[in-house]
Amino acid sequence: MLTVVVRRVLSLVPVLFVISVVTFVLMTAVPGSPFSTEDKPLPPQIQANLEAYYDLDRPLFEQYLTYMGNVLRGDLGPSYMQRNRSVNDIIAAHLPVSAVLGVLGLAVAVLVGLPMGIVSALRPNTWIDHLAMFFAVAGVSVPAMTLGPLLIWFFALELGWLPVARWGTWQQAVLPAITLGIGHAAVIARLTRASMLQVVHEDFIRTARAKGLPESRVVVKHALRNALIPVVTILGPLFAALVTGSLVVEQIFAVPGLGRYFVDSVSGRDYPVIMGTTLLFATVLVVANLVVDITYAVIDPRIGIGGDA
Amino acid sequence: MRIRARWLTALTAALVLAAPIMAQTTLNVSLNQDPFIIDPTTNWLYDVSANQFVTLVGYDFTAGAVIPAGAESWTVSDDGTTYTFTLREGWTWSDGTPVTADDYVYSFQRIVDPATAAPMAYRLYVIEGAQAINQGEVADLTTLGVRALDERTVQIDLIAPASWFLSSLGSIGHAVPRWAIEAHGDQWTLPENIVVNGPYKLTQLEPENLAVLEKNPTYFAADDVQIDVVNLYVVPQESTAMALYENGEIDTVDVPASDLERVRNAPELSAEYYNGPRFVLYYYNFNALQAPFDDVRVRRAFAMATDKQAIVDFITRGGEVAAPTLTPPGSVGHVDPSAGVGIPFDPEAARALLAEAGYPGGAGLPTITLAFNASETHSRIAQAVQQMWQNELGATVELQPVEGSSYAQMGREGAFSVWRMGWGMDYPDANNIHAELFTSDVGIAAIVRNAEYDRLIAEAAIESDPARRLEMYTEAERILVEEEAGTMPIYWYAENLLVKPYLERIQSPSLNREFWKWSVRN
Repeated sequence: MLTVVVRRVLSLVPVLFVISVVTFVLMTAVPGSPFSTEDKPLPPQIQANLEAYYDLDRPLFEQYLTYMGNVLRGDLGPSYMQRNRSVNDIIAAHLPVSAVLGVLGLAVAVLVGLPMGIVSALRPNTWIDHLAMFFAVAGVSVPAMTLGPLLIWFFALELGWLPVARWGTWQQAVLPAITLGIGHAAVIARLTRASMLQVVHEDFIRTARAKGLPESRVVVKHALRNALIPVVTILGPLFAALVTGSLVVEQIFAVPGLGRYFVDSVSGRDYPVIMGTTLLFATVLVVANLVVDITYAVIDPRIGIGGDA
Repeated sequence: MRIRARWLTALTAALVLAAPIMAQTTLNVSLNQDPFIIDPTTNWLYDVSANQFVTLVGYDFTAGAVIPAGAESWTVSDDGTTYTFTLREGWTWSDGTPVTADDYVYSFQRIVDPATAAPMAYRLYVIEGAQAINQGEVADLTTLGVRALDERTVQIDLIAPASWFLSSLGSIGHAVPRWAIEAHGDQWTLPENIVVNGPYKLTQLEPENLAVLEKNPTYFAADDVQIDVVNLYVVPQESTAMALYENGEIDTVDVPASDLERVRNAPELSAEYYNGPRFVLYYYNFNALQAPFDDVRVRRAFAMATDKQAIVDFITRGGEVAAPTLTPPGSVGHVDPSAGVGIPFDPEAARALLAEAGYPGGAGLPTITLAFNASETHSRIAQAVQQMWQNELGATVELQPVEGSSYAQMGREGAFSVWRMGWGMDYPDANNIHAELFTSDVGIAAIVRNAEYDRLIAEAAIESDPARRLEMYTEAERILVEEEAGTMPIYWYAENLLVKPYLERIQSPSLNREFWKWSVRN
């Protein structure tokens, strides 16, 4: 198992290399300059001075080599938007915030979605099932952009139970975590329900019941365990997406996370931040998928990892 | 145990009684961008820097006059090219170092030094030697026409007289502490390193989250600064800032367009509501390089078919003012609407003119691409203009929202037929908008060029008689906006604020909030 993990981690190197080349080529090919603001195109001389300051007047190939050389030394470069903050500073300051919010959001998604899916599947086509699936459809349909301000209005302004926004106390984490998690909870609920419905009709469930096992044991040990495989599969990419920050939720609740850097860096042509956030996301995604693969083996011993198990 | 409890009670009581004497006044406001942008040299000016560093002179937007700031007085030579400033006496930086003329000289040199790559360096090109240094032709920074004659005297030599120059110094050339910058590099603006000479000093800084400014006792007018602590919370979303205000967590807020109606009608909120002018222009450019807008008659026809009053009355609805000309009211060189400059809404004349240009009823017009930087307001305005041009002229207009900062450059390179732009005045003088946006040497290639307009703007910049200047700007606006219709001003923005009753804030069209002029009643 250990060798497999090591091998998978090492495979990150070529993956990140390819991603870095593709991202670099794409972002420099797109027209636009990091230094002109929306309303003030800068005079050519000022533009030239800024390009020289950040070595953007060098050939692209040289820029790439210099950049990758710095990355190997652990330096992700400067941010063009904020001269006194490097990409390392940005990730160090904002990734932990996004990660905490992301894990809380994921917890909401799983803790709400999974039971809802199980209950619906065990009582298919009853009012419980219909109610749960109604919420699941609603959860998927209402975007965070709408849900967030709605929750603020109701729980903060009308009831006064929770703070409006900002970050620092556990109370401030509640509404953003719900906003972030609820849509995904709906997806997990539907997926769990479908998967459970399929599994409960399998022969081995009938066998388990025929053996006289208590229903709770049949559900948890036999049905759920097998039904979880597709759910676990989506948790990997979902984890990577949530932990690296959500622009919309972070903006609505004024959470100082990493989310906006993914978007603003692209629209602002902040090249080192684009590269840094892309490489970060790729790393988290690959690692999350590795964890998912290991989890498969734990849930279902028939599934091996790494091809040699 | 009991004794100690009693002792504690007594202590608490003492503290409570003493509280009114020791109470700090605190202001809580929101900030919609990262507070890390602090160095006034390497960035455009923002709240956090404007409150910590002092320019030579200030600008009082309410009185419409240049006022003393770092310099207590100044003189201008008869030929209008030499400005001599006398700094305040006995004023020190927050670390105790005296504020001297050298600090200002260093600041100006740092802005024009190409190695600093300051985005607003071009605004100083009127100073002797500035352009040559900034373009890398001259390496010696001391050739810049900003010199310290003695500890308290700064002399600035211009290449030509410029009557707008003094007011432009209200937003550029803040003294900065050379020793702190040399010791800490780009990190000199962190709370542990920063040295300031202005009303406030940064004491806490959390990226994307919070900046805390505390009153700086070494500021020359520290006794007049009423608010002790300013907490700036980063809140990117307008509607969230509004909710924070309604929940009493911040003391003033910009009202989002979607809440205006509710604010005006709610008894409590409407009492806290302020509506006033802002020095920002909303305008559309016509791409004069391509058909059909290479024909002046077509540009004029489209401008005539645009009902600006309807846009401010029915779409923006925040007290904006339909703009016949470019320079906003309250700025030097603003042309009073009574002068009749500009293109009034006249759909009938527009149709006649379009027919004359060879497009009767819009027949033969190519599809017009109307671009705007993606935002809800811009989009709603563009939809209205699309309707007007379709209904009045029979034109087919395609809307093109564009994301991101490449937008301005794409427009500049002629990617659209018509595109939306905005301009906030850096200093309240027509020179800022004309000389930096529309003259042939700096202007956008796709906008029409006119030698007479260029000449007027160049001459108005060095004219010292205010009446003559206004005449020149009036004529210049007539040429650019009316005769050539190269660009189409639409409206001047409005300020829509909510202010808690206990806060007194300066209501002015200035872009940066000057907390040292505000006060909080306890």
